[in-house]
Amino acid sequence: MKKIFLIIISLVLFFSLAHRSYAAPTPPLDLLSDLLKILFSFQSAPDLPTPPAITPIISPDTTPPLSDINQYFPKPLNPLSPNLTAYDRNDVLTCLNKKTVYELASGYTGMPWQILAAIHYLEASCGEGSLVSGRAIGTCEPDLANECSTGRSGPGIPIPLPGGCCGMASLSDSAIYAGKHLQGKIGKNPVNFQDLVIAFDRYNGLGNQNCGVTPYKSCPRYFESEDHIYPLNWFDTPRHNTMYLVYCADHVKCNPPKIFARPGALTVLRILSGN
Amino acid sequence: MEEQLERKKMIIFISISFVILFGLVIILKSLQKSSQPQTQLPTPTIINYPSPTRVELPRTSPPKKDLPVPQSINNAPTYPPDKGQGIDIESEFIQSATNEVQKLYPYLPYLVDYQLSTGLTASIVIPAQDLQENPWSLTVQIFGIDYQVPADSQDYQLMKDSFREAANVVFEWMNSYGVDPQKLIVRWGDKALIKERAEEWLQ
Repeated sequence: MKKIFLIIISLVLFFSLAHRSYAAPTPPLDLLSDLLKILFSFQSAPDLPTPPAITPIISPDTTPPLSDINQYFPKPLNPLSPNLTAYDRNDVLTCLNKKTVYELASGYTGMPWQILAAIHYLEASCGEGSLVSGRAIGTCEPDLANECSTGRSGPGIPIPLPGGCCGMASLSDSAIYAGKHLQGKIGKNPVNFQDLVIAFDRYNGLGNQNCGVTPYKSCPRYFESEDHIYPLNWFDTPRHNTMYLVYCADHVKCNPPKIFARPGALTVLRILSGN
Repeated sequence: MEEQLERKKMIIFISISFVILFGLVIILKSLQKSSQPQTQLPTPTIINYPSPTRVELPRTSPPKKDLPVPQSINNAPTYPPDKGQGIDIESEFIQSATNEVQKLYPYLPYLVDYQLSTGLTASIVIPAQDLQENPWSLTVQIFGIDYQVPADSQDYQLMKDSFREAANVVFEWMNSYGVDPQKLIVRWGDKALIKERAEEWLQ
């Protein structure tokens, strides 16, 4: 009798110690249930691929403050596409590290900082690259050729670089430039969802509109640019779940069109504004 | 006899301990379920996306003569390296272009959609002075054209004709304010490929 009792106790202790040695500390309730799961495991291991490990500098739990950014979303707002992974969300939230840069540029342009962050995410993953093209700050920007002069300087104005080309002096300058540039696409500050979608589409170039040239299913589009990957990929489900990259390089169409696997600018906006 | 009683006790003990263990598992599982947040996804609803504005767009026709070709920024003089490089804003070429652009500032922004004879709709956006990229050129954007279209594509001629027709609208608008397009430097877009294509199609 005593022997059996001792065997049961030692088994429980063994599994408990084994679990403690290999697992991260968990609350007591989880530990117990995990132990029981080990003893009476009816569940199979999840077969979903684990996303690559990244260390978000800002905690994903951080909810940025809500601002008037809500004016840019349709109502009601459907859930984000299920294709958007936790990895993508965390990746977008790293943009919060440069919030002060975007806020500074927002002061010069009147564009909400989240919109500038969205451009930076699409162009340079909110890294050190410029908002113009993602190229390193201080290097030649081909799109800014002949846009600079020694006799002209100021916030957001391109500067001449050695070799005669033009580029940006700082990340904040590129953010100011991008903000004004986005406004220039529609000739005004965007005030609603439709304005912003069109402005983002034109910022990227109209070539990546999906209807008529890809297997995208949500056609016809509701308005100009509503079928473009740059503003709306993964924005909501089911309408923008699967969208396609049309041009793989300048003047070169993807054959066949490739599924675009990055969040669109308004999707980034939703994540950054907690929507 | 005593041994049999001992065995019975042992069997009863083992069965009871199993029952307790299973009971614990069930209780813990139900506790865990109730402590978990509800992760039920909301069902998609129909969104009130803005509906397209149905307006009768002004119609255009193909240009009847050769188009006036604005000056190319590629011909603009630049400062030498010892003066800092970039566009020479003191040069006659740039000064003259700047003066022409300034004549149009009071009439900006110009934001009009056109129904082209090619079947495409073109949105012309010429931003106001504060959103112009620089003082020596006029940013004129014609949207609705695929500037990336490969030269061997069946749509190439359609895009080229559409661009020329829309550009002609812009030139006529400039003329109406006494500005000669050939004295201006027009910046046809932001991307290098758009600028190159536009200049190529105007030749």
